[in-house]
Amino acid sequence: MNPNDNAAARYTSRIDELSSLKGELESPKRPGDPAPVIGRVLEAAGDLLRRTQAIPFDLAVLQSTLALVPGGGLKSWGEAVSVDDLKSRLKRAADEAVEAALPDTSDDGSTWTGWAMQGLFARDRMESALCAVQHLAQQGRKDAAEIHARLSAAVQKIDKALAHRAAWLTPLNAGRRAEAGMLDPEARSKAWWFTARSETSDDGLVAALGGEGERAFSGAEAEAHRDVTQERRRPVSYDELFRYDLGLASPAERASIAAASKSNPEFARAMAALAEGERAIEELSDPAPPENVIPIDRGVPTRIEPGRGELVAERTEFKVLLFRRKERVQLVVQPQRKDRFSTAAVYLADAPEVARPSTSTAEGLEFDLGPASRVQGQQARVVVRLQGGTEVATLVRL
Amino acid sequence: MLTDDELFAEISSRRAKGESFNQPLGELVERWRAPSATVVRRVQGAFMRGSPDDAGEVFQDAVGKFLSRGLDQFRGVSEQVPGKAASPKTFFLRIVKHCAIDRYRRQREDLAQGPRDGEDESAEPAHEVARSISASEAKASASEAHEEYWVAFRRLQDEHPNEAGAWDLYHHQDMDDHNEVARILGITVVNSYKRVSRAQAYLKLYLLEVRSQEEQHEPE
Repeated sequence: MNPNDNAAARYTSRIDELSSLKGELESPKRPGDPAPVIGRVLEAAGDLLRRTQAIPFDLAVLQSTLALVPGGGLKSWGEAVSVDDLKSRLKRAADEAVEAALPDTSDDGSTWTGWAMQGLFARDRMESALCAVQHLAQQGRKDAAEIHARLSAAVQKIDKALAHRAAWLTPLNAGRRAEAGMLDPEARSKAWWFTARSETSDDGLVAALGGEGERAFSGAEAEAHRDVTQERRRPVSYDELFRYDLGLASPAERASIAAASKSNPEFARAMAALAEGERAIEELSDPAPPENVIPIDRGVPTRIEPGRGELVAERTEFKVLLFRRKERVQLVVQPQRKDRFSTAAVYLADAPEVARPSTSTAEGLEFDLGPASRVQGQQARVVVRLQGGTEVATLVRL
Repeated sequence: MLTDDELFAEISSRRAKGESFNQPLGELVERWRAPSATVVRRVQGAFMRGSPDDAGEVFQDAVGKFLSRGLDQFRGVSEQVPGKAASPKTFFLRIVKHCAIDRYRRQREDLAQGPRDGEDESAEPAHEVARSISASEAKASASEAHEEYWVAFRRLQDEHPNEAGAWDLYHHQDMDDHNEVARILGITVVNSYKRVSRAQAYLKLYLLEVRSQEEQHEPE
C-alpha cells in the first residue's frame, strides 16, 4: 500500500471511530477519568474537520458528537495534556529521522522512519484536538474557548522553537507529503511538521549532509559543510583527562586519549607528567593501600556480563541490559549517574505509542517484552529521559 | 585535633545543611599545602617547565576546583571507583596534579601559537590598512565559525556520544580510517562509517539551526 492510500484509510476509519465514541459518550461504561475518551473524540473529530476535502463525512453527526463532550471531561483532558512531553516527542522524532536517513542497516532505516512518523502524528493529533476544541468554542462553549487559548499558545511556542528543525525531517518526506496531501489548504498552511521542506528536492538532504548521496550544497548548507569538514584537532580537556585518571572515561574518551598520546608529543609529555604526579601522590598518601581497586571495563559495546544479561547500550548516564529468562525477554535500564537519569520507557514496533510495563528491581528499571518466541527478530525502542528534558532513543534488536 | 576524614565529614555535614563550611575547609586544605607543592614539583620535572613560585597559584586553583566541583565529584567517585578516592587528601592532590598539568599544557599551546592578533603593533604602511581591516574581519568571522563548531561538537557529545566518539577519532585525532576506528571502539566497520556519517549530519544541522536562529534575532 502506498503512503497516500495508507493515510486515506487511516482517516476514513475516523468516521467509524467517532460513531463508536459517540455511543461511549451517550452511555459511559468506563469508570474513572473521562479524559482519555474525550481526547480520542477530539482527535478523531479534528482529524476529520481538517480533512473535509479528502474525507467526506456528515458534519451534523460530528457536531452532535462534540456537543456530548461534558464540561468536566473537557477540563480534565485540558489539564492532562503535557505540552512538554509533546516537545520532547517532536525533538526525538527529528533525531529519529536523521537515524532513518543514515541507518546502520536498511532494516533499521524503515524502523526509524516508522518511529519518527509517530512523533509527527503526535503533533498532528494535538492540532486536530485543538481544532475540535476551537469548533466547540465557536458553538459558544466558554470552557472550550479558555482551554483552546491556553493550549494553542503553549503549542505555538513549541512550533516556534522547533520549526527550524524541518530540515531534520526531510528523510520522512514521502510520508510527510502523503499526509500534507490529505489536509485542507488552511490546515496544510499551519502543519509545518508535514509541509516545511517537504519538496522532493530536499528528500536526500540529511544523507548528503552526512556525506552520502549526490547533492551540491549552496548558501548556508555549503558554509556548514565547509565548517564541519575543515581539518581540526581537538585537545583533550581538563575534565576528560581527570575522568580518564579516575577510571571514569567513556570508551570513546579513552580511545581519543590513546590516539592523542601516540600522535602528539606534547600530549605524551602531559601523560608522562600524569604518571609522575601519581607516583608522588602514592608516596604522599597514608599507608593503607587501596586493595579494592577493580578496573572498570567499559570498552566493549556489546558483551555478556556473566549472569547479568547482555549489555546492548551504554552511556555515562545509564546502561541497557538484555535478559532472556525462562522464555521471556526483558530489558533493564540501569542508571549510572542518578543525578542525570530521570526515567525510561520501552516500546515495541507492534504498539509504537504504548510503553511496555515496567517494574523497579535491584538491577534497575525492568521492562517485560513478552515471550521470546513472539518478540524474536523484532526491534525495541528504549527511550531514556535525562534531567533537563533531553531524551535519548536507542534501537535494540531482540 | 580532628583527622582529615573527620574534618571532611564536618564539611559535608555543614554543606548538606546549607551552613557555612569555609573555616573547616580552609583548615583542611591548609594541611595539604606542603604535599601539593611536592606534587606540583614532580609534574614540573616531568614537563620540564614552571618555577617554584607556581605552587601557590596551582594550589589556589585546585582549592577553587575542589570547592566548585570536587566536593560532589569526590562523593561520586567514592561510589563508582572506591579505590580511586581512598581519602579526600588523595582526591585533592589529584586535582592539584591536573591543575598543574593543565597550566603547563596551556603554556605550551600559547608558545606554539605565537603572538595573538593585535600583539604585534608595529606600524603598517597606510595603503595596507584597508587590507588589514579586511583580513581582520575575515579572521573574526573564522574565529566565530570555529567557536560555533566546538559548541556544536559539545552538543553532539551530550546528545549522541557514540557518534561524537567516532567523529572525534576519525576527524579530530587524524585517524581517518574506519578499520582503525572500528577496532578501537569495538564496533563493525560499517557501524563506524555510519556513526561518522551521522555525526557529520548532526553537526551540520546544529550549525544550520544556530545560524537560522541568529538570523531571526538579528535587528532589521
